Amino acid sequence: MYLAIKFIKKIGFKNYLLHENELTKYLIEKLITLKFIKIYGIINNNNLNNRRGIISFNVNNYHPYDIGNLLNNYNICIRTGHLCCIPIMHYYKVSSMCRISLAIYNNFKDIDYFIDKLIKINKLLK
Amino acid sequence: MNKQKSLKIISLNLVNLNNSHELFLYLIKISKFLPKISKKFYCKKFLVQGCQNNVWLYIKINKIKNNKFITIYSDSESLIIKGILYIIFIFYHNIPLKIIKNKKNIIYFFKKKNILNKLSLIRKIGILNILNIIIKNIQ
Repeated sequence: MYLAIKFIKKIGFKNYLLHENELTKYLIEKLITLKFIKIYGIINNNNLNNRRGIISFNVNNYHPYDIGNLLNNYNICIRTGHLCCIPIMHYYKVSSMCRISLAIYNNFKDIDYFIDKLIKINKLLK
Repeated sequence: MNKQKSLKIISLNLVNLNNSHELFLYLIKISKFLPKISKKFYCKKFLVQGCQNNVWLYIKINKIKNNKFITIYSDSESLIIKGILYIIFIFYHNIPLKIIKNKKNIIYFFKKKNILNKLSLIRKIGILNILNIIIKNIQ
């Protein structure tokens, strides 16, 4: 905990949030271009400053478990399932979702890699 | 193709898979062979408890002359799980009850082919729940 606080203090909390926000915007911009992706939550460019680096999505009609397992093989770890939030699943009328979380240790290259693998997985599952 | 032949082919193919990525892709591939089931089975009554992916399972025991056979109707939202259901289907569907003594055979098969090790604990529990339902219906 001490080391984590020291690490964030060194970077600066504002810089931390700024980096996360830039990554989030970049990821959403990329995801929007993929027709087989359904993003949940705010995707309007004007409101993206209020959005943190947690993005829930689904890939076509494929089950998130399949997507999560296949991404895992490319060393990409995402959360899948009902995300311990069943009311949200009812709200969006889905049984489960994929969720990617961005943080200070991620960069734009990671996002490009992730997008590339999503496209590949979508092709594999077709 | 008869089921024994299908099982042999699946066994051989599973041996040749090098990693979990290939295993998952293979399970997705064979998931397409699981016979479609009637819409009436997609309800809470047939939902397997304890599976994070929705799995619907209905077991029917048919009697032909003096032999009892097990008939399996199952499906899942997840293609990987559907692939596993297909293997279970080959093991049990239309097999005389006399031959199916216990679930150890299929668990041994899954262990031998290193399938269970590549799945998370929750999925393993889900598969055991599926097998328990089958065994309960047989007894």
